[in-house]
Amino acid sequence: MIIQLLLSGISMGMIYALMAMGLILIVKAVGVLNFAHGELFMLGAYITYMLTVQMGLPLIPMLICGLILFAFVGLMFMFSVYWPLRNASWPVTITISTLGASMVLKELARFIWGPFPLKAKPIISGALSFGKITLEYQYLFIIGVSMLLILVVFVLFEKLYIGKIMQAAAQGRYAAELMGIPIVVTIAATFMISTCLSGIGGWLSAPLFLVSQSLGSMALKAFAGIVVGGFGNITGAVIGSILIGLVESYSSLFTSVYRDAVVFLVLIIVLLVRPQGLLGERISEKA
Amino acid sequence: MTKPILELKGVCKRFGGVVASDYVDFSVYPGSIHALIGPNGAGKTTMLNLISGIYQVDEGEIHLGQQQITKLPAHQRSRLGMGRTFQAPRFLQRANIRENLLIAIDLKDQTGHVRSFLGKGIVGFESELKRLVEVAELDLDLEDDITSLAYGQSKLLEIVRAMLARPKVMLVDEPAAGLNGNEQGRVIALLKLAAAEGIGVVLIEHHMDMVLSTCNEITVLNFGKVIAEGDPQSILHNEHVIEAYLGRKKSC
Amino acid sequence: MREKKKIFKILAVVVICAAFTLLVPKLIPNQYMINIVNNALLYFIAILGLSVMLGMGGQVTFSIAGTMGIGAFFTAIFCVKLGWHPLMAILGSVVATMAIALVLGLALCRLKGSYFAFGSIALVHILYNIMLNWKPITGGADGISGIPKLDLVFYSCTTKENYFYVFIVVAVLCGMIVGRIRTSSLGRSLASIRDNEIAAICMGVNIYQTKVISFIIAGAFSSLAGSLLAFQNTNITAELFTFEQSAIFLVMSMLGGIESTIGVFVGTILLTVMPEWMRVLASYYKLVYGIGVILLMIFMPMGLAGLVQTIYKKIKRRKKAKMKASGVGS
Repeated sequence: MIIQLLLSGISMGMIYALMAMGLILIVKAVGVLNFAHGELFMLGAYITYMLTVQMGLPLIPMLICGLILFAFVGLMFMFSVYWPLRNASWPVTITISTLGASMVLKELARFIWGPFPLKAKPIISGALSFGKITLEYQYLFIIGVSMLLILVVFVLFEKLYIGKIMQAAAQGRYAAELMGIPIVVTIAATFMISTCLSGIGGWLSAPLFLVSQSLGSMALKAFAGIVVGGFGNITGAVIGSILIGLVESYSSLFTSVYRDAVVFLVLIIVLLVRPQGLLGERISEKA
Repeated sequence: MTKPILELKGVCKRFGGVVASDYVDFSVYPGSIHALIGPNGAGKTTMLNLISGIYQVDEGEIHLGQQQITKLPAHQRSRLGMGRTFQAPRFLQRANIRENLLIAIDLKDQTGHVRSFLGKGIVGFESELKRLVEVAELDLDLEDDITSLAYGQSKLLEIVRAMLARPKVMLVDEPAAGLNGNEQGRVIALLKLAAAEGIGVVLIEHHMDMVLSTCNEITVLNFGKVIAEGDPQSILHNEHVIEAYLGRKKSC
Repeated sequence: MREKKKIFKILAVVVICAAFTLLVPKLIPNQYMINIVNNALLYFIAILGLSVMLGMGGQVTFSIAGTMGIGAFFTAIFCVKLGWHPLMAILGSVVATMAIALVLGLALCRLKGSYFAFGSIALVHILYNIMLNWKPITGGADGISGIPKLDLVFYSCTTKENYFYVFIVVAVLCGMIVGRIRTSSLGRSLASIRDNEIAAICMGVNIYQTKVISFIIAGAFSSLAGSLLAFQNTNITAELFTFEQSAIFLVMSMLGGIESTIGVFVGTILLTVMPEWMRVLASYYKLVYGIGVILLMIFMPMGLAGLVQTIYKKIKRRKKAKMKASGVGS
């Protein structure tokens, strides 16, 4: 039982980590948290459903189509929701704009796929059994794929030149423009990568839950992961998200309805005790 | 022997491997205009940030009058009388001029929010403002947006705002940058008024003629270290200072 | 000259409020519509709290529906389970909510900007979760019913019109309080936090403390609204106090113009009444709403009040330029 919860906790944590990474990327790129992030995740699950159940595509073509669609959605999202407001003097407007976007995405999903929850096919059925312990392949697959993606993103942003360019553009737009870095491209790329990460998260989690418009609320757990792990830090976001996944999983030992409340309570306690998160540094502004 | 109103003892600040302040001792007396000069990157603005509390010192002590303020957060230092202006004026963009200035009066009076809510409003503001605005030769409509001010006007208003709060010490960061001769004269007039009222003015400035004509005390920094200290004449002829700015002459 | 302008403004507001108060019940004989207006008034009171945090302090928060729910449930519990008098219940609810807001604010206000917003989303979800599931206290999914009618010692509310008169008095009072806050030192401190945090620090503003204070004030206003809602509805459930409701509050305030009390009022009334007019859109309503929000942010971020102000300023500037051009003036 404990091992089961460990497994499901880590795999959910990994999914949250994928979303968290996407969120952090956008925060670093444009300085505002994207309130529609959960809905992008939800859209990922729906698109995956459409490609597998409704269109019956096999794995590889489905992944390719899915990624193209995710990237496209990310691009559209950026141009309609963020780009017109990129020079706004008040960041609140971008926040509320993403809020409007989350509503739009939810309604679009409702129009296209209907208001009733849908059942997606498991990616890999079956499980591994050692005596009393059963490890479902689904969870192992999620952990494997997520770890791979996390590694790729980490290498891309922290080690490769492309990542440095994108970070530069994020930290100082004007200077980056003066240096010839095409801001539109880097920001668009960031949004597309972020959407792809959420989309893949949606694909991985679709078999675990019913595909419905309420999937968007998962973003909150991803956010909790970011805060618990440490602000603005990809590593922190990942570790924090996995911790959140574990907290959520193990809280089912003593409650079923209040699981969400427990997660958020942990978030608030971390904020009280160590506001910069486990791996965060105290940020001070330059005068 | 008057005591300094602002005193730094052995103040150090490092950013990673860079030493921005290297065991700096620094004293400012009430009513004096004390310049802090040095080549670019010498650590002057860092010093102001350490004094006002935006950065915390790694080592050393800072005293404001009798009180040790080394560990105090920046807002508390302001409340104890630490005034500050910035190179690029920091105003509330969406408020009008009146509201921007009233904040300084809030700081001066410190009566608390409840009394401000219940109270009759700010008394004596107009007269306080008048004498400063006259010296600064600013023609203001208080109802105007703060964004309507020209650059020179906003720089002067920064100093006016700091002075409205009646600080004990005023840290002024390059007030003359980008101003024409007439505006620079008005800045000098304001600073001299501040000093006359007993405020200890710390001035970062690159316009040497302004520094030499206005200040009675100069501290020179280079690479975070104090390399010279004294009155304007002695600093002008100090060989360390000349070397820092111009480099040493190579003997052929 | 400024004094004259001020008096004129106050008079105008008084006249409009009086007219509104007297005319509305006559022009809208329909009970259903009066109920809608009543709801709008209550939302207005709650959103006044939001305007202190957002309009003055620049903090986006989704906590308003949550603290409103706390106020409502406290009132319900005080009246139904403890038999308190309505006035006592209202007072008790507001005080209790402010205490809870203090604790929550101490935790949440450590977060900056968007992080704080997300924290408030977490908060409203927790509160909803608790309200929905804590059967012994909140009645679970059924909520609490049997709340008595609002009985102020000198005035008893039996009809919707009665509630209307009470609500409008409370709304005007709250509007005045918030207007006063805006011109007091708290309003200026909040404005400095919103516009330039470093300037705020150098002007002696304790940012953390001021943010917590604004959070408590928002809690006070929204719990008052929730409390009155409990009396009006006679039964309350968690479904009234969701994240979606908080999001609607945000949009209402942005539509009207977050920096103007009158703007907030207009935005609230418009968006409360609009769903009725928009029935023709049926299932497309939410989609239009979402797109509308995005467009509102792009084209009119300062809301209707902001639009009015911009036009007013343009006219003023043109007048000034004309005067200068024709040689008149100082």
